[in-house]
Amino acid sequence: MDFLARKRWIASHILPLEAQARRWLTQHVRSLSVSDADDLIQESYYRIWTTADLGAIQAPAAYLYVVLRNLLLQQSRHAKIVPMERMGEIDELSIPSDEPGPDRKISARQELERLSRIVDALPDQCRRVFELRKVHGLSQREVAGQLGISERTVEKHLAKALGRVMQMRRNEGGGEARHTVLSNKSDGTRTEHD
Amino acid sequence: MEREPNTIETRATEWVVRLDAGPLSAQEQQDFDTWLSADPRHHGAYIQAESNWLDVERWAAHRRASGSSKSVPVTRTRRYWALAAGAAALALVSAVSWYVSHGAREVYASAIGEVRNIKLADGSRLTLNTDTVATVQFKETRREISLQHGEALFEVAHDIRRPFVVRANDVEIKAIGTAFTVRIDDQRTDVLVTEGMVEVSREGPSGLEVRRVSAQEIDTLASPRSRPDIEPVTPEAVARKLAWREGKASFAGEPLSTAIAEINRHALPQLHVDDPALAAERVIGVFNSNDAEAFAKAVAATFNAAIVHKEDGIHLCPNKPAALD
Repeated sequence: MDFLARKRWIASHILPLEAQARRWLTQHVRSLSVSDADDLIQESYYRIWTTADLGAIQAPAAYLYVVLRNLLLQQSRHAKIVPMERMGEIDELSIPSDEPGPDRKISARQELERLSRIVDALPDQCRRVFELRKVHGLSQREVAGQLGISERTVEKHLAKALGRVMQMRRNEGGGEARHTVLSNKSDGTRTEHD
Repeated sequence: MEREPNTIETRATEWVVRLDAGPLSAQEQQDFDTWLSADPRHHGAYIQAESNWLDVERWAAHRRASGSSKSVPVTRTRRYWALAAGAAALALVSAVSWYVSHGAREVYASAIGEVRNIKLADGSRLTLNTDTVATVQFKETRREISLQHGEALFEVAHDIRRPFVVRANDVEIKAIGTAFTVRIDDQRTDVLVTEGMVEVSREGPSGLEVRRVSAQEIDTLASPRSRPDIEPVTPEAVARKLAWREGKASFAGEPLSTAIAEINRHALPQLHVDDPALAAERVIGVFNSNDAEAFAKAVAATFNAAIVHKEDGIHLCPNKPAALD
């Protein structure tokens, strides 16, 4: 698999599992903080990325959970201070054999809906830049020319938009933080309440 | 609950967008490499951000199709979503059925550069080489292992009532109490026996073909249809072939291209050699198998080659001969 094919594989097989895996971590390893879980998820992407033959992975969910569990174990072995209950929690951690429930099945639809909402809620200029680049397929330079702004500003807007998308995915897992995605908008056209 | 913005994630999004703008300058490339290699979380967040950037395409295509960048007609989107949800459900069904049909299997996996030692319930030991996936299932009458990827060493606890059976590609290896390694390279399967004896079987043109492979022998099944090839191996060769257990790769005159393929199984960044003459050079020595940089330096020093860092890894190139003036 080449570089792009590998990215595609991750985007279609691992990305949709991220929220569920984060939930699994925080529910079963109670001594884990939210930022610990973020760290583990980030590192799991790296571990999976470095798997030589992604195509050979037959059950991406099981693979992701195994990777996360191994990372937890390694981390606990190397850390100077580990919460006392941690090893027990890891011991009891089981790789779910039942795949995602009904809440997960509708998520493809929900994700598109949420993405639309995230983009619509971006500040006007940021949204325009994002749409010109992603929907209309203009290069960053062309976007800058079209809007009469610097390429550096285009980059800033795009990074912000991408950050919002990633934040959305992270918050899908917890549920509790979902509203914060949009609540800090000054020009907010809508606020999410679900 | 408000979460702190994740700074690693912020940097990752900046790099993704910067790379989207065009090629990096030499300085930027160096900064990027430094940042990536500083922490696996950095590299992971970068991959995560790249996947998100790519995944936005689904939404963008949907926006393009609906011909509006702000409001979206409900009927069309409903249908699209139904399709998308259908596809997701299908993907789920296949994942679920894989799991169900395999019952309570345990899945063990190792990452690149990792060697894992696992004690199984029957007292057997399983050592996974780099980048390996194996599933284990103990039944009443058989102990079943399926090697899906990579290489593993099996040290089998004696149990005459329950043979220990390893499946790899189309090959089945049966042992009672012995030690052997199985390695998969795409279609090729190698079975190296270090102690005792195993039975290697597979479906051939004229029914099941069964052969015995004894200690200090290697059985190479190059592809599903090829003839098996049992050869004796010297104790030194066995030691070299098991060097991975100590995190080493040992070469005794293999071409550089072969040695690089071996190192690439264990290490990132990936190594490349484009020059045929350089690729044919013979490598001798013991290396840390997960340190591509050190290996590249050793090769560069030995064969007078240059090291060039690129996006896809480290390239080894012959040094230009010095100008003759």
